Amino acid sequence: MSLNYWQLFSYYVFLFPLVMSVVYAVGGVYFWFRREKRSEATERTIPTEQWPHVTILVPVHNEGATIQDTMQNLSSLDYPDYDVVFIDDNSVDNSADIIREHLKTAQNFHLIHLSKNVGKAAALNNALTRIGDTPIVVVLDADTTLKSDALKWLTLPFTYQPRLGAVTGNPVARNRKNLLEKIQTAEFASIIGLLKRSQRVMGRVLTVSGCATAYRTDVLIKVGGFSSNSATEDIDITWKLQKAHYEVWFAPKAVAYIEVPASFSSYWKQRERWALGGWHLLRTHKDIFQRWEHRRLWPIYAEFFLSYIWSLLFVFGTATWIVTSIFLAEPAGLNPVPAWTGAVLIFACLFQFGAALLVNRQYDKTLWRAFFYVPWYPLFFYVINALTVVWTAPKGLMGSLNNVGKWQSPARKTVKPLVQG
Amino acid sequence: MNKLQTSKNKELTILNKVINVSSTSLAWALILGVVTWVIGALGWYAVGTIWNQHLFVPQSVRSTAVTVLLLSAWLLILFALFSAWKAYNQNRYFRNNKRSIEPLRSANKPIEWAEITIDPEEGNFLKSEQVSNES
Repeated sequence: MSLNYWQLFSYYVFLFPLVMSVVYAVGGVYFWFRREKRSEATERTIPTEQWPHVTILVPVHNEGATIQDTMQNLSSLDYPDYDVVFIDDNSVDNSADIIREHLKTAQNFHLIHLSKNVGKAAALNNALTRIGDTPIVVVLDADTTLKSDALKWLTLPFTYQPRLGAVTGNPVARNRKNLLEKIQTAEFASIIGLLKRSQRVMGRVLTVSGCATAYRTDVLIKVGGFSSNSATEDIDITWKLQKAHYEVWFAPKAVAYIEVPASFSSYWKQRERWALGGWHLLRTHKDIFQRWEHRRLWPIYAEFFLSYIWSLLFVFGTATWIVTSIFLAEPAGLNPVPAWTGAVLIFACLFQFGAALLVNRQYDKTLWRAFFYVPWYPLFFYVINALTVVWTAPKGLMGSLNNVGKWQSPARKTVKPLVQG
Repeated sequence: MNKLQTSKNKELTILNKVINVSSTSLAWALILGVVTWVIGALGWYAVGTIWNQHLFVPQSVRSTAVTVLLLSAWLLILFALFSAWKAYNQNRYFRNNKRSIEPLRSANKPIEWAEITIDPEEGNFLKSEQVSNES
């Protein structure tokens, strides 16, 4: 009896997301029950004078459309002692002029102008050498705004846990007008929110959210700062910190409002960069398997590797089925038309989103509205992400890593903050 | 009289323009809202159809029930695993706390400049980093 490989692959394509959706949902709810719901009554607090000084670093490259809102937001944070350093990465628009206007009135605002465009990672490294000996730096994207108490939630864990290297915030979609934005709202809650919680339960996280994360400055410098040799500097720094035995925590109460891509082309570009960053992670951090002391990172790497295998099988299996169904009476490959397996996977997606709604509703009161558009989100999450993984595979596996992190900011719209305070 | 009428006409023209622009914007917002809602509703219709044709049919009852049972068992196993892992970490990892790590430093030298311009190639302490683990 010959082994039917396509049958085997179809089991994998069906079972991997099914099994993992239960892992994310259970892990997410477990984290929420232990660290969020139960801890509310015994919340730690510290006196005002004991909050450590924080320096917020905001890399800016042609962000004239959004920087005004970001500055307004950063001038009214509920935190006793903080500086904000904007790093103008040689913008060609009016970003630097808008920032300069604010320097006159805000004493804690500063501007570093870089004479050459070097990309986010190198811009941040340049700033790290110029900001004195601040104990904590928070890296914030130029189009991201913080809930007024977010800085406290990002900083608080550092005051009682010396093993911490970074604390990542909870990104919530701010723009939710068109269908793509609504689907991403669901995706951010269902995938990123649950994923980070479940990974924290397991002990290590795949990545911090590059849009809003706090780092211990001395640790950041000790591991060599941010790397320009990865398409996603946030994934890379997370692994560098954890390989150096520092913890990376997730602070769900540190809500950061982000602008999600509003058009399909910018959505594709963002996912393409993320997928490329994933390939770079697989390439540059595979050495964890050579050292027993890195064993706690093995499950996260293995899960990520298996998700990339899933994407490859899904795309090539579907392509094979489409081609062979045109030319052959009995097509080979993986049939993408949803049948029983598709029906079960949709159920799993809805179950996962239900769990996300439960754990994230206290930070995002209108998240339930995105539930109406959830049936479309598997299409985006599974199909688009799988396609970007395949699309970036040659560059990710064989392309040079030198300065690959230097990228252009996506097109921005001017949007008003969804919620403040 | 004529001047007054001309000025009134101008005001009316501006008012008409404002009404036209706002009603057109409102109409488009309504149309796009309805289209988005219809797409959302179509998604639920598709889910209902797929479930109706493949999940809630007599020939699928057994496999669906077995899958739900297996997933429930997986859910319970995971919950038990997470609880055990938490207990292990609490006892061995955090309480023993073998790694000697310095606590967060409290001193801070204030930033004394408002704006500086720097050459990134001079200031970047990562500039000499080479890609050492490229495959």
